[in-house]
Amino acid sequence: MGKLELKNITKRFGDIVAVNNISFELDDGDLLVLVGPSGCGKSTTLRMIAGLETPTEGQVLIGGEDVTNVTPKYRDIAMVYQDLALYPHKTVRENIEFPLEMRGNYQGDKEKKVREIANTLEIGEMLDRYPSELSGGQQQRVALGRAIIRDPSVFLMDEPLSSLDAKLRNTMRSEILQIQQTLNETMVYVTHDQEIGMTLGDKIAVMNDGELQQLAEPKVIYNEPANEFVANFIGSPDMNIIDADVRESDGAVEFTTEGFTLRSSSISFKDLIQGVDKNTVRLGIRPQDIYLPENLTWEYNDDQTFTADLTLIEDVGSVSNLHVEVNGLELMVQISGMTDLKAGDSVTLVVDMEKLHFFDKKTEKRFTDTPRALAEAE
Amino acid sequence: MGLWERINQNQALINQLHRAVAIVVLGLVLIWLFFPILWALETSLKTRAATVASPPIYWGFDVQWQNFILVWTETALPTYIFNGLFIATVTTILSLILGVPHAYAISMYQSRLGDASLLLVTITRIVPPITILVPIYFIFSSLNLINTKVAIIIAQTAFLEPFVVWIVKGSFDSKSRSLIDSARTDGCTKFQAFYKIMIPVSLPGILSATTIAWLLSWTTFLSVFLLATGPQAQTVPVGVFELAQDTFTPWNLISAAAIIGIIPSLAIVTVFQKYIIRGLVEQ
Repeated sequence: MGKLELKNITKRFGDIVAVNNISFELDDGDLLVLVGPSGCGKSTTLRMIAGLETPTEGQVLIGGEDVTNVTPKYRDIAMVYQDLALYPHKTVRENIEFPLEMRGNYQGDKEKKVREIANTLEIGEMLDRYPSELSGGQQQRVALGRAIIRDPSVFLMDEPLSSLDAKLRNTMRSEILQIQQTLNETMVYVTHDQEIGMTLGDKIAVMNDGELQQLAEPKVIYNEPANEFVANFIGSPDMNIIDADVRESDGAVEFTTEGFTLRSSSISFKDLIQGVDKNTVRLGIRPQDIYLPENLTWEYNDDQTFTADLTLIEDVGSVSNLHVEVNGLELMVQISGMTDLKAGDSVTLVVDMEKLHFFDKKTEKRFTDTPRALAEAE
Repeated sequence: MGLWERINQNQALINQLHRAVAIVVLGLVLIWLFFPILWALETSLKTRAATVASPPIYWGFDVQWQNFILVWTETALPTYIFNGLFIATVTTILSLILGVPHAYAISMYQSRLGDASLLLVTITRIVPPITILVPIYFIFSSLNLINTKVAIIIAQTAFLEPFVVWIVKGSFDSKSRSLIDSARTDGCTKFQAFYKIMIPVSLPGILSATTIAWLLSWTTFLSVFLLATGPQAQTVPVGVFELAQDTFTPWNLISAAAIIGIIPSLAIVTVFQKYIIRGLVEQ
């Protein structure tokens, strides 16, 4: 019922290609988070699912039906907007009731249903108030109530939490997740906040410049980003990505960057560099995968260490971000907890070799695509 | 440190100074605006002799309340008022019926037709009506519509509809697009979104345009003067003007007519006053 399919969706505004050949499938009950920077086409894609925009090419199917040219009224969808778009001239009750009224075919007791939804969302006391009399969080709940009252096939959300303060955002995020899971709604959630993407979705779709970069589960996106853009966009702080020369030497593989050299005898690397043009590799390592020796519980050897100068320490409470520099190369390291080190100190750093990422310098694509990530991006 | 500098340093003092200046300026403006009306009121209560006295008599004259009754019974004032009410109301309704959807179309949809339309609307506001006086007369004359209320209504609607579009479009523009999107994803057609959501939400702007359009019609002189030659179609401004054509000009009666003519305006403004300000501010 709630299956959503996009087939080769393209949207052009004059000469501008806002969305370029996007395809994906969502099963009933899945939560897809569509992330990307501003202007990447995610909102346009959402609007095409809603019917507010018509694709220039391609098809949209909801529940197996081709709805590409169907107006929003006749699609079984509901949408929550970034600025909530509550009707200021209607009471909370009238706002929530509105979809039932407009889509016309509700058989049951409307009043009762509104009350039920309002109570679930803890705004039962506000039914006779106007949106302007409510707090941000309460307004958010009204918007949600209005969307869920019809129990649509597909639930669309366009950055609904961005107007809330950080604490409220976290609370509402959990609530939205709860609702989605309880009602088992198919949901597409658009956001520019990659953290929300990682915590909320069954699947994440990363977009940039109108194109789908990768669609996969959060774990896969994080551990096996399909290209440099995804690697940079997901995960905070940004992944360190640097040029590296790759060489075989003495039965081991050597990666030489501007600032340091890493070596490994691991077989997986030997396989990796088969057929690779030795001078076109970009090496990626997340700040969380570089360690201070004293924090390590596992064995390491010199081949995976290098020394750098500490230029800045950001103590963020549960973690610390260390800005280091080696030979002009600037890197970010994230360690848990705090450290007694000071700026200017020289530090030895250990790299978790299993967490290295490799990208083609020319195409920016990942070298070892797992079959799964590849298939879902197609 | 000079006196002025010392004053400037004291914020409270500066604020008081600003207030005093504001009150004085406001006072002067109010006197400027209301003096003619007060004078008309005074004149309407004088005898003919008193009105032309030189130097002018400001107070202490014999109050002639019956001037108001006289002007009502002895002239065509009731007809003028009825015509004016009829013309203003019909013109306003027509301008709204045409103008509000027009404004919506321009505001909501990006199109060359919309841009052209907006240009025409703007031009109508810029061109002085008097420049198209002669063509307008000829058009209605050839249709045998001179001295009919219909002609005046059509002519006035042509001027006031763009005015309505101008104000109402501003009101629509200031509303978030997501309101309409939301209405549509809640199950409205584009038209339903228009009248169920956009119009109620833009009511201040629409009522503001309504009130001002009505007042403009009620007080307009030129179009009525041009197209109406007799009491069948004449309104208060023109009727009052006609009274002054005699060699023996009854200033007191004219003033009385003018004062009576203010009453409908006052009534409309009183009813809609809170919307007028809100509507204009929304732009």
